[in-house]
Parts: sequence; C-alpha cells; structure tokens
Amino acid sequence: MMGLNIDVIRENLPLFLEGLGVTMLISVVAIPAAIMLGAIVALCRLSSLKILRTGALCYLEILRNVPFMIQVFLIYYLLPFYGFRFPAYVVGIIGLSIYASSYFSEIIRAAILSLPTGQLESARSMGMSKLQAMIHIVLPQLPPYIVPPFINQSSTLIKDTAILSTITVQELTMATQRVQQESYDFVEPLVFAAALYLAINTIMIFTMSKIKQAKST
Amino acid sequence: MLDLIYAVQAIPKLAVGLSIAVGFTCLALFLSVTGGLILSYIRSFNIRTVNIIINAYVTYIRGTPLLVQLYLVYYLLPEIGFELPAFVAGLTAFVLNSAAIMHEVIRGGLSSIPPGQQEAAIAAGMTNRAIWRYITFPQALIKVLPQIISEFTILLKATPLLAFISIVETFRIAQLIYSNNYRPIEVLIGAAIIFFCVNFSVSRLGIFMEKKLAGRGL
Amino acid sequence: MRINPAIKKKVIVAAFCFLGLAGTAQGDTLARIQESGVLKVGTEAAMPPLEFVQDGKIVGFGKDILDHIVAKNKLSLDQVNLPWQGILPGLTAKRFDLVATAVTITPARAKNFAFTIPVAESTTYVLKRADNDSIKTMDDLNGKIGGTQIGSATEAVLRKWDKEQKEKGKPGLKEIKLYTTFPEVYLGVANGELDIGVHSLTALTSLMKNRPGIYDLVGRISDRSFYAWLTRPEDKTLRDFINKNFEEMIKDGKMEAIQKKWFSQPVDLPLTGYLPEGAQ
Repeated sequence: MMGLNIDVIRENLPLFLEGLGVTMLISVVAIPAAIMLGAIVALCRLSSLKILRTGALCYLEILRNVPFMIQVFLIYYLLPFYGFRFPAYVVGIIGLSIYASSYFSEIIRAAILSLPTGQLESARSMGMSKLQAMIHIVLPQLPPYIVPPFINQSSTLIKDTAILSTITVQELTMATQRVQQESYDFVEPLVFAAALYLAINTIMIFTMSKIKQAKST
Repeated sequence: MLDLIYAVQAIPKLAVGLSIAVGFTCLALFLSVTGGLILSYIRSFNIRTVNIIINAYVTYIRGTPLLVQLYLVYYLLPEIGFELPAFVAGLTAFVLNSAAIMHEVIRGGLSSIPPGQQEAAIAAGMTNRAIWRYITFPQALIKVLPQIISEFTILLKATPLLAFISIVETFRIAQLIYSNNYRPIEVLIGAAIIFFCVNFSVSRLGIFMEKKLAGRGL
Repeated sequence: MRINPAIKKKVIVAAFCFLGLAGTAQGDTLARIQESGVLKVGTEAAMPPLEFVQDGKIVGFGKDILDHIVAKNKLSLDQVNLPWQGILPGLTAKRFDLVATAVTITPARAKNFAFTIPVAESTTYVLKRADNDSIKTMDDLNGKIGGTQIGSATEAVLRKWDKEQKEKGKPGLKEIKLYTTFPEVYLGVANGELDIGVHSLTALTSLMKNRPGIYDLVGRISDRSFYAWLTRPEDKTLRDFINKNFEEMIKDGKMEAIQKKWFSQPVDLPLTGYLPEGAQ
C-alpha cells in the first residue's frame, strides 16, 4: 500500500474541524428536538382519541418506510416552495429531528407500556387527566428503560448527519469531499473522517453511560 | 404550483430503479446473513485474537456512517489492488455493514435457545448436525427472522446512497428526471411513494410471518 | 533446506526478467490499451453540448470526438458515466485510463494530471434568474447567495472572487452553497434558493437555449480558461496519443465539422501555451 500522506490532513485540519463542528451542532440540536417530538407522538399513539392515534401511526409509518435521504431532499425543496429560506444546516436539523423522532417515539412508547398500569389509574382517580398523569408521573419514571436505547438512537442520528452532505450541508463528510477535491488525495481524508466519527461516537457513548451511572446512584 | 401528474409520470422509470435496488438489497441481505453466520461460527471458537479483530471491525461499522464506509470501499480498495466495479464496491460496503449487525442478531438468537434442550438432545443420542438442524436452527431462525426482514427495509432505504458512487438506482433516476423537468418535489414524492409501498408491504409480511411462525414455536 | 546455488541464481534472474516484463507491460498504459483494443474512458455526461445523456446514451461533442478516435485507431470504447466526484478519483484508482469530460485546466490539476489540448473554452460566467432585478452588474453579487458544483473549478473561481471582494472592503457573497451536480445548481437558481450560479459560457448558453426565458447572464467572473481531457500523470504517452489525434482532426477539418454540429460555429482554441507552470 502506498505511503500515507499525513500532510494533507494537517494542512486541511481547519476545514475538517469546521465540518466536525457543524456535525456536532446539528446533533446537539436535533437529538433533544427529536426526543421531544417523539414523546409527543408516543403520547398521541396512546391517546384515547382515535384521530390522534391514527395520525401518529401514519406519521410513523411514512417516516420509517421512506429513505431518509429522500425525506431530507423533499424538505429541502419544499421549504423554499412555501417561502421558507433557511440555510441548509437548518433544513438538515429539521429533517433529522423529524426522522429520528419516529424512532424515539417507539422507544418511549415501549417504555411507557412496560410500566405497571396501576399508577396511571391511581393518578386518574385522584383527579388528574390522562395527559397530566402521563407527563407528571409516567414520563419521569422512564429514564432507566430508555437511556440505553436512547444512546443507540442518538449514535445513529449522529451518523445520519453524513447524509446531509447531499443537501449541501457543510458537515464533516462534505468537508472531507472538499479536501479530497482540492488536494487530489482521496483516501487519507476519508480515513481521517472515519476516525473522527468513531471518536465522536465513542465520546458520546462514554459520556451518556457516565450520565446514566450518575443518575442511577 | 405542485402538480402531481409529474409524480405519476415519473413512477414507471423510478420503479425500474427500485427493482434494481430491491435486487441489490436481496443479494446484499443474503450475503450478509451468510457472513453473519460465518462470523458467529468463528466467534464460537473463542480465539482471543480473532475475537478482538471481529470486535474492532464491528466497532468500526457501528461507529461510522454507512456513506463514509461506502466511499472508503469505493476509493480505498483500488489503492490496495482490488479494482472493483462500482456495483461490487457498493455491494461489499453494504454487506460488510450488514454482516456486522446480522452476526450480533444471530448470536442473540442462538444464545436465546435454552441450553437444556441441547443437553437433552445429546442425552437422547442426537448428532451435533441433527441438533443444529432440528433444534437450534429452526428456533434461532424464528427468533431472528423479524430482524432479518427489518434489515431488508433498512438496506433498501440505504440504497439511495449508491447514487453517489455512480450506481443507477431509484434516487439517481429521480435526479435525472427532475434535472430535466424541473419538478424535484413531485418526482421525489413519486419515489417516496414507491419506496413506501415496498417497505410497508415487506414489514407487514414480516409481521404476518412472525405470527404464523410463533404459532409453530417449540 | 539447501538449494543448489546454481539453480537459485537462475531462479533469481528469471524472477527479475519476469518482473521486468510485468513491469513494462503494466507501465505503459497506451501499449496496454493498444494490445487489449479497449479504451476505458470516464465521463461526467452532465454538460450539454459537450457531453450529456439522451435516450439513455451518452452523446455530445466529446462523444463524437471519441467515436472518431476509436474508429480511426481500431479500438473499442468502454465509457462510464460517473458523477463529477468520481471522475478524478476514478482515474487515479485506474477504473479507467482517460477522462473524456470537460475538465477546466487549473494549475493544481495540471500538476497532478496530464492535460490534453483544450477541447472548449471554460471561462466562467454568472447566471441569474431572468426576473431578478436586484442583480444588474457584477457588483450587485455582493450580499447574494451563490452556488456551484462541489470540487469544480467554478467553486474555486467563486471563492476567489469572494475573497477579492472582501479584500476590497466589500461584503462578498452571503453564502456559497455546494451541490453535487450542476442541474441542481440550475434548479436552485430557478426556484430562488440561489441568487446566482456559475458555470462556463459554453454550458450556460446551452442551458438558456434549452430553457428559454428562465435565466439571464450577469457577466464574466473568471479569466479566460479552457476545458481539456486528461490522463494520469505517468501516462504521458497516452496523453500525447490523444493530442496527436486531436491535431490530425484539426488539420483535416473533422474537428471544425464537429464543432459546427454542436456549437453552431467553429471555435478557436490554442494549441500551445494553455498549460500553466509546473504542468505535467
């Protein structure tokens, strides 16, 4: 194998770090947004109102059966059509949050269903509405059930940011392609980018598990 | 003004792309399940060095985006001597990715079978091959089948990435169509519809099969 | 295990001869092509009228030239259509031996690849939507959103212009969006995501002919530059072979005929002095 050219990485480090920064920014905003949206959808699925249940089900089925890349391209072209001119990374955050919310919602729903039902009933007998009971009693008890799948899903979300390079978002994968095109070195930048993704992933999983440990003590 | 006639017009051509994608996915899934089985088998020998290598490979697969893995196979392999056509490069990347996941799924499936059954079978005089064929494999298959079906939809949804290593599939065809008729929204809606139809049907089929097989469970 | 020294010596000599032969067989791409009879070419068929896809086939100015060259030299053509991002990496990775697609000659590229004689002019112009009255002169580009294909020479042109504006104290471009293909750039200008796009006059003229009334030109944004084909830097014999064919076509009028067919008029292109310093 030919010698590895480390210089190309060193010279272009600012470009890589800029891309990495955008990846992190998008992830840090999209993960909580997706979780909140997912919680809302999960509650809709468990609602007593049929229209909410059906609506949520349609939402989920559409998002989970259509490729993410197609979803994000559609949002990218639809928003300007209705007059919204956002920079590409905002479109990316929106697309990613919506897409990931479908997965988070299933995790939350499964966790809610695995809780003992008695609590919901006693809360309601004390006069709370189903929604209030959900928010104040059920949701706070979820963390032990949801943190590991949440970590997994968040890791998937971070990896999915790479797809945003196709709608001109200047995240890490797009930065890598720019370095490739400008330096005519096609392998080293990719290997470096892969290492960076691994690093983010490892750090994130490590941090989250530390948080989990801290919370359970 | 959105005019859905463009979506309808695009669908026949898009469907051609989707059938390529489905064929690709079936092939990739078959190879990756095979790969997963082989990996599980190798793992069962418990050779420390080998396990470390497999773990490193799985960590790489799970820690990096598929798009990056795809580019790496496409650009890196020729440098070390493998000149693969784009289709083979894409297939390799997808199989490498999926096999890592499948092997964990298979391991999970195999370990969920109560060892008591195998011990009883040995006591009853069954050969290892027979045990595998009549006891282990059927139960493991029932256990992992839903996940294999789900992996089909995951791989199919990932096929648009192949457009970026010059493979002509659904998304690339969509791009070619809307570069000509300037109707990206309608054409992409068409693509979304046909993907939805295929994936939705496959998931429903999976649920149906799961119910039927569960009835037969041991 | 003891090997007879005499035999050992013969084996080593034979091995060297074999490696030497293998080396030469590998080493000269042109020889390999002539022997196998197949010319493997990479094209990004996305720029009418130079190379584009019609009814599922690659057609255009470049294709006609290729057809002429392979017919004349009794070769067969194996042409792949890839996105731009795969073109230069694909050449380096030996997926094909010739890039027969319009590639702008830039100093950086000329150092890394061997360019042929120019096939067309690539001087970059600015495109806007016809009804966009906020842009009348090049100066109006300041504060606007521009877009182009990632990794193309036009990206460098846009960034250079932006830098020059900023050095003059002007705001420069508000944003530079990078797309994977030029059709997406044109679409972006048409639906307002972008205020301007940039590409060669050749490409933009063809676009405006195919889509009348949507676009307008603003002005020239780069120095005079040229498109050429290219090979790997070590394949200079192949490059020279292509050049020789081009020169013959110019001499016997075939080049002018093909130019008239696709550009409606003959084009004057330099035969010397088009390569920057330090070129291969």
